[in-house]
Amino acid sequence: MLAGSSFYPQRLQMEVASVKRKRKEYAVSIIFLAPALALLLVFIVYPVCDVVYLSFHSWKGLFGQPKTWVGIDNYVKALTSAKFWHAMLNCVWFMVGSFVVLMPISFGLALLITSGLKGTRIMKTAYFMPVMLGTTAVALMWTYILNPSWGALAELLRFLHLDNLIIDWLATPTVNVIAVVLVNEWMYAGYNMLIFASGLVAIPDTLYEAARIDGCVGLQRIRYITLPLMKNTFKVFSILAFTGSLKVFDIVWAMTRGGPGDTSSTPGIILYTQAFQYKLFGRSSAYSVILLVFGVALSLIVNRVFRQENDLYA
Amino acid sequence: MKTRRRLLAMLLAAAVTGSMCAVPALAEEDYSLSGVTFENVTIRVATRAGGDAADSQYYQQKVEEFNALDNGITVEMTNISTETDYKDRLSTDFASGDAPNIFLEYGGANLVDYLDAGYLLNLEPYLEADPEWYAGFKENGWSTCLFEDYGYEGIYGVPSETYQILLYYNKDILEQNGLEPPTTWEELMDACAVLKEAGIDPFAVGEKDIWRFGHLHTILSLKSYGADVAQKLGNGEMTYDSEEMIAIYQMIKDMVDNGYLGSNLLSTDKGMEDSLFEEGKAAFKYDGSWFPASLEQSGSDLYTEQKIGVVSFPVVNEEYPHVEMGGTTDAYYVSTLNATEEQIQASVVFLKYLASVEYIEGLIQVHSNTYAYNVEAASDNYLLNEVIDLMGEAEELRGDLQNYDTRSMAMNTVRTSLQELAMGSSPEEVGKLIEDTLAEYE
Repeated sequence: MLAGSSFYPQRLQMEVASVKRKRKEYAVSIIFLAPALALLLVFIVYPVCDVVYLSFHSWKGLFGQPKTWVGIDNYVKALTSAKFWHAMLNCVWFMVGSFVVLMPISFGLALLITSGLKGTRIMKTAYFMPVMLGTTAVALMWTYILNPSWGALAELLRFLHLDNLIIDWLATPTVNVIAVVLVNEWMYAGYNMLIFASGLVAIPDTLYEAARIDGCVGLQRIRYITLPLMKNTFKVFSILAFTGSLKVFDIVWAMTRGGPGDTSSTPGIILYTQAFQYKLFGRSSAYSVILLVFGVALSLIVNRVFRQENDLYA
Repeated sequence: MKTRRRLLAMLLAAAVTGSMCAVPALAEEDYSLSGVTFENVTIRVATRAGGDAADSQYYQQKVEEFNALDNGITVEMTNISTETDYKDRLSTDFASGDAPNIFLEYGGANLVDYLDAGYLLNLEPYLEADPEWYAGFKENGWSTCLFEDYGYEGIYGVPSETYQILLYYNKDILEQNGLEPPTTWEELMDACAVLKEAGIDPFAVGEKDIWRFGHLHTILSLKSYGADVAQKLGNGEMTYDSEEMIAIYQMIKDMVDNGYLGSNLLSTDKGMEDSLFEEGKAAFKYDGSWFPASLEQSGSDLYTEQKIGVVSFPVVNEEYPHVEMGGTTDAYYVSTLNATEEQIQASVVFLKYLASVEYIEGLIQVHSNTYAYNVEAASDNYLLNEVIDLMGEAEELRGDLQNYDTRSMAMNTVRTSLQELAMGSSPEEVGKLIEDTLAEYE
């Protein structure tokens, strides 16, 4: 009884001390997290909530003017708009370009710059240069190159007597989207090269050495060691490719402004023009929410796909 | 007790009613602002004077001179030369509540939303209180500042430039091909056929800038159906898929299909269009009365050798020979959104500065143009003088047709859809596209 009475207060004291310590740790954590959380709330959470709120209202974009409740009308009009679905189709071109053109090129470049060959430093800089140039500069440069009257590509084709291949690349429906997609891949190849390169250098050399002893060389090395161990890198690339394709705006705006007509428009351009040119801020917000939902859904699907593959290998 | 309550209620009601009547902040005699002094008042002025053009440089220099006057007013400039970017910036400013105190705009339906919200200052009492300032503007320059069609009495801006769309031509090319400057649409089409046959581009239109077909559509409609077509389209009496409009699209489409408007016109912007004409690579050019000034500044030999001529836009329907596209191209408006009384008054003072004789004379010297001010300053630009003479012949002027439409999205919708004519769409498809798109926004 006595022993018990002395034991319990001691345990209680220890528990109290533990709780105090935990509280202190929590307080420190909160203090360190607070700036980031505040920024997240101000720049991400609040704007998203505001956009969701606005998407159920009609507003002409005039400060201080009332926002009229319209229910799901903005969503109905957005989702039944042929222009929106055409713009989504253009996004699919960007996604296809990302996986068919960008991914192999970026991965190839990453293999090259991590191969230990001479001159890789220059290669890194050269491949990364388009990213450093900036979207507007790249877009302007390629707009000039692709001009069918006096652009470099047209002149080259004329020099090669291939005049029949010269078309108005940025004004021909579908061709203009493909042209912008290819310029986009040219620009971002260097950026994605770095993502793949970071995955490549993280693979221990010992694995390659062990594989070499077992007779695994050349392409087999890539197939059986590099690719399986870079699954997470490919996952990151895939998520960036899907979400980037959905929200693509700058390169298209700078090269074609979504035109001619709306042939090269993307959802990003539609939501921008709806707000700032047509003054339909509610409808524009609905497009934003739809894009957000699509983006999150695609990211979850990508995660799911890569998780399933993990299960298979396990 | 009851009587006292009634009296109190009546007094309160009178006070509320009185405050709702928005008694002007200034007594009538104060609108001239002659005795008003300012202390550290900053106003922001948004214009498109952002490039290297002589008039832009002049404006920027004069603003700096104004700021150096030490009159208690400081002007901050927001100058964006590209029209689309400029308008997007304005939209953003009005959405965020940080609107410029003075801004340049083109009138019409674009501004009706601002008027509906009560964000535009009625300048009429200020103009009437300063007859000298009021009389400084040309009488025909007020079209973009009046909104009576939308139910608003008053004057909501002061005009800056007047314009008219005309047909410029290369004298040498026409002479070499035995052609006279066309006066009718048939003559123009015949001339185009001859030139095309000779391997010369009749026009080189920069339809990458969507307003080029927009202007062609407007001038052809006005010349075909008279000035009333603007109101008819605006109030829905005529639709964009009507037979009348389809006939206009067909005229443009025929020109595209025959190659009269140049090759790769969707990749050619207005700057390239100007260059091609100035280099003698196109015979004709439909453009505004602002073109002589830019031609002069381009340093083109065609200007120095006086090889460019100008005529009124060819007559399409003989019933309307002197109906033209034109009017006031742009005007300055004063925003009241989140503006203090001092800022509003300072804005008016700055507007008077921009319309002063000294300012205008200097402007005409560096950039001869058809301004909306009654300032007689001789121009040595031979082409501009011809343009001014032609402008005197116009009997009825209308601006872009969509400026008379209550649907503020009509301008973009029509202009974007007209591009389809250069992409193989039929006139009927374009008419349907415009109406369907407009219906989407209702």
